[in-house]
Amino acid sequence: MQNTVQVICASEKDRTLLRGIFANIGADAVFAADMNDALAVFEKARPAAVFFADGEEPPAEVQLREFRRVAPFLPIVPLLKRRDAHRAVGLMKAGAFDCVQAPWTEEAMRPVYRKALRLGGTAVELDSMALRSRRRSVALAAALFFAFAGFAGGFYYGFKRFSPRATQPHSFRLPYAHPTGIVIRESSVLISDWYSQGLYEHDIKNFGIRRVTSLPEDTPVAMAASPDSLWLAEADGTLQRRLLDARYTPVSKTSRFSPTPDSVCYDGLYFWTADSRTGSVTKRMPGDALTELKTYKYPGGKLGALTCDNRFLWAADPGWRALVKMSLDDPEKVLSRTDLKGYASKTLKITAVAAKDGKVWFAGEDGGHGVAFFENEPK
Amino acid sequence: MSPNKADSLIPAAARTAADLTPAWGRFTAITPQDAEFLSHFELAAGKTLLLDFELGATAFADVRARVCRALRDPDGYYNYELQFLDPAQRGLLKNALEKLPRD
Repeated sequence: MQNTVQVICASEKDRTLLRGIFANIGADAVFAADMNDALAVFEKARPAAVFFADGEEPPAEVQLREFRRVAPFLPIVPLLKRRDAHRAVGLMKAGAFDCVQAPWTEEAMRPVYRKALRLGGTAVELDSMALRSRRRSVALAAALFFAFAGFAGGFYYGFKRFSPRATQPHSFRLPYAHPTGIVIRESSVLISDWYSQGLYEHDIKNFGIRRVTSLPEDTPVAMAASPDSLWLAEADGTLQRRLLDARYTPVSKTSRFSPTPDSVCYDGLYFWTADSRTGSVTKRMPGDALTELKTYKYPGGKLGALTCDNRFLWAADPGWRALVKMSLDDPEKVLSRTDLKGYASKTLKITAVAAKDGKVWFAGEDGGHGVAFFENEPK
Repeated sequence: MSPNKADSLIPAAARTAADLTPAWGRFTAITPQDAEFLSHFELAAGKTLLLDFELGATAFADVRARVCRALRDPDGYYNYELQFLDPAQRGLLKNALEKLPRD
């Protein structure tokens, strides 16, 4: 999905605010000072949506008319400088896709941005049935050829890799042996360990320990972070919400979930829990109770550990020995599977995954000691 | 699930009796008895709304409707099932809907 949006705003102060908001919601925002600048950009590249600040020159109605004339199907979103429903409805009648109310925040912007990017158009087909049928034959022949070539090549290559050494270029050995959850922060990595009942904060560059927080009354089996909280899944099936302060002060606790989740993550809108034993993945409403919305069957080989970002679900799969990418909208659909080099070690058991800034991090046990490593996100 | 052709649907302003800052959204379906309303604002189920919108040449103001059900879609938009409460307003809606051109 293209994520480039055009943002038109004359005020430098507003631009700074909007630049931060769009970066945080994952948008690639291209800024223009006024409508004429934006229309000049339109001649070279077409963004997925246009956001413009209301109350500037020319008036919003004129901007809507001009953008609709140049790009009739492009979602156009005025950013209102105050929450005025009748102004919003008037602009929507004039062709706006929706309006974002003041104050401009990530929470207000995210749904409108996501909906604008998913705006569907008319399905267009160029192929006739006959052409498609011919293409199928050619594709089948090509597939057979590549299957044979792949088998022969794989047979030879398999011998060379019969006893591969586990090579993990970005791997760190942990001073504890039973990691269960991993959360990536700006400059540190937080890992929970069930056996020592602690949270370990490591420096992200050299993995030196910065801080250890003991949890003598808890046995963490999974961990996730939302913007203002840390969530710990307990061995008894409950999920505990804690503040992100120095002591990770407990705030609330859910009822016991069954089956007991051993993976948990937050995609920016919803919480997800997973149980590797049953291969079930559950979508939950945000909130202290984490009410269940729907449970899905994991579509891969065997679920090892699950995480998510605001675009995808990611699973470490020891059955396929791969990193599996799934859609947030339809978790029963595999979008891609990528062989995971770490699984070259036959004793590796990945117990926690986290995805951030184009990297997927793993924590687990390997030969009696804990390890953490990362891979670049597959394309 | 929200239809992603939301820019061609009827826009409406919605407010609760005690709410001084109204919300807005679009009708994805409307009958004289009930409607489906798509909005990025969160409204509590069970609340009574006052709706302002236009149907063809008829402008409606303060149409009373109850939020019967709310479902959030993957984009973060809310799909509300609304039930129109006032029999007189239902009659006016029926008249306006009958006057709309059909596909």
